[in-house]
Amino acid sequence: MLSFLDRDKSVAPPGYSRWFIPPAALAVHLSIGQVYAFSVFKTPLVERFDTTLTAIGVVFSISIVMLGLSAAFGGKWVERNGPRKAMFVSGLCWGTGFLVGALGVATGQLWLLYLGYGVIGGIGLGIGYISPVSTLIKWFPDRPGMATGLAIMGFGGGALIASPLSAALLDRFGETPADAIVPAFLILGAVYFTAMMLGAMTVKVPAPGWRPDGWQPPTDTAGTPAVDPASEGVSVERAFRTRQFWLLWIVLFCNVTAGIGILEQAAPMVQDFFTGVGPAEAAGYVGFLSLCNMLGRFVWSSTSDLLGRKRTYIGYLGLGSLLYVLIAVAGTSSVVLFVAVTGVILSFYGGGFATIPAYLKDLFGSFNVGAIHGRILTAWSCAGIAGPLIVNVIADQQLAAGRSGADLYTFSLYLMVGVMVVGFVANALVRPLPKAAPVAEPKDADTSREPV
Amino acid sequence: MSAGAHETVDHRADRGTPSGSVKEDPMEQRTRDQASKGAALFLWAVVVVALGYGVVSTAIQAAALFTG
Repeated sequence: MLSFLDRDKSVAPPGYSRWFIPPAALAVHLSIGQVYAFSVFKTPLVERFDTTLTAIGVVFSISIVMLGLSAAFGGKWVERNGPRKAMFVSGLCWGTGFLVGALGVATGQLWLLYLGYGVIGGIGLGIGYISPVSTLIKWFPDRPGMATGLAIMGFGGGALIASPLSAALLDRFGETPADAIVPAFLILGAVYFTAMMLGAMTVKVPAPGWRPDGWQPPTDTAGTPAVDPASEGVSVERAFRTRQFWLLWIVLFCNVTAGIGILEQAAPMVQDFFTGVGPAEAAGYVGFLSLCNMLGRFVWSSTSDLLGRKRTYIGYLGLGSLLYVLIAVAGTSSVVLFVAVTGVILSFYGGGFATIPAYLKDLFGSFNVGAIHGRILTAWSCAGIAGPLIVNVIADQQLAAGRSGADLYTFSLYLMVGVMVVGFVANALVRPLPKAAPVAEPKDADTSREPV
Repeated sequence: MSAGAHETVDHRADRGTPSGSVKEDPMEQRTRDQASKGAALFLWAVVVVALGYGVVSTAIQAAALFTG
């Protein structure tokens, strides 16, 4: 009955414009990007369940853990079944997550909220995050950085849409925000489900062998008979065992750790640096950083098509570490300087997320790039724990030592410089896979190879 | 931008069975392709409007940093 979701049924006819594909990817990423606006619901949920912020914070943590797990372990399934079925499953999980979560809120059962928004919704997040990546790379082999940047920008943009939208829904549908959680969840679930289904219905994969007009894949100028693994395509199992994969894992981990450390502490940090900045201005600062994060995903990832992936990460990590030093040394001298520098750092943070699929494609080819991308996102999960932990623990220690203001963060900023230098070195060590005789894929590898 | 597709590999041979749309009525196929294109254009409009809403709302909030 659901055969229309099969990869075979989503092959584009000749002449189909590839520019019809990005909105499908954006619809999915803008929808699942809502997870970054979950904090809007935290206070009303605490009131509704009469519990602690920590107990409600667990909902977000479960969903992020499930995102990492489902992206890591569901990548092969996504590659095998194609983007349409993956987006359909993602939309179903994300919509059901809101529905079950609303049931939990309505009945006062917190475990249902954990199960719904956290577990079921989290699976939708992971599958949805990786579902359009491989397809976009196949449609835009000449500009993979721009294509994946466009989609992954949606994940950053999702929070920008969901945050004011959720606040408006909470304001409108109940006497207090706590009373409005159930209708808000139901409306958001229905809207996101519809948008993701539209995305699933419109996404198409290119016919095997399709290429953009006038574009030829890079050829081996040396004319050697050896096989280039990147153009042949490397299976996720084989990529997982290469040094290149783990170097890129370190690169992503370091870039995300440094960025997320600032993002998570942005509001208290700007108020500690500048005594004249109040909560309203701090909220504005967080919004500004979110914009930089979103724009960096598209701008820097697109730029990487011109500069090359390795040089782009040299910029993220090299220039980024210098900017961290600048904040530590002269951050308190001017609000404008502080805001501008942290904005650039956050644009590099977003750029790092968006450029990694194209980097993986350059090294391992597009055959299993979605699954490989899923595996490397475990670096994000680890950085999501490490980054905030470093900044928070050090700030607490500095506070206990009697320090205040910007001094609370000086040590952690220098520590982040060290983290970025580690990432810089890992990036410098990345080399293309050695050319070799054709390698037989492992027996459990996907055999329904789709030539590009 | 037109993609200008041209197949260099017969994808029907790739799986040993006709690919999804090959045996279908050409009229039905054309209608479905048109519907798909229409939906994609509609989706473009939706995501641009949604992103615009998010960016403008956030920019207004961020302006408080300098005007507050």
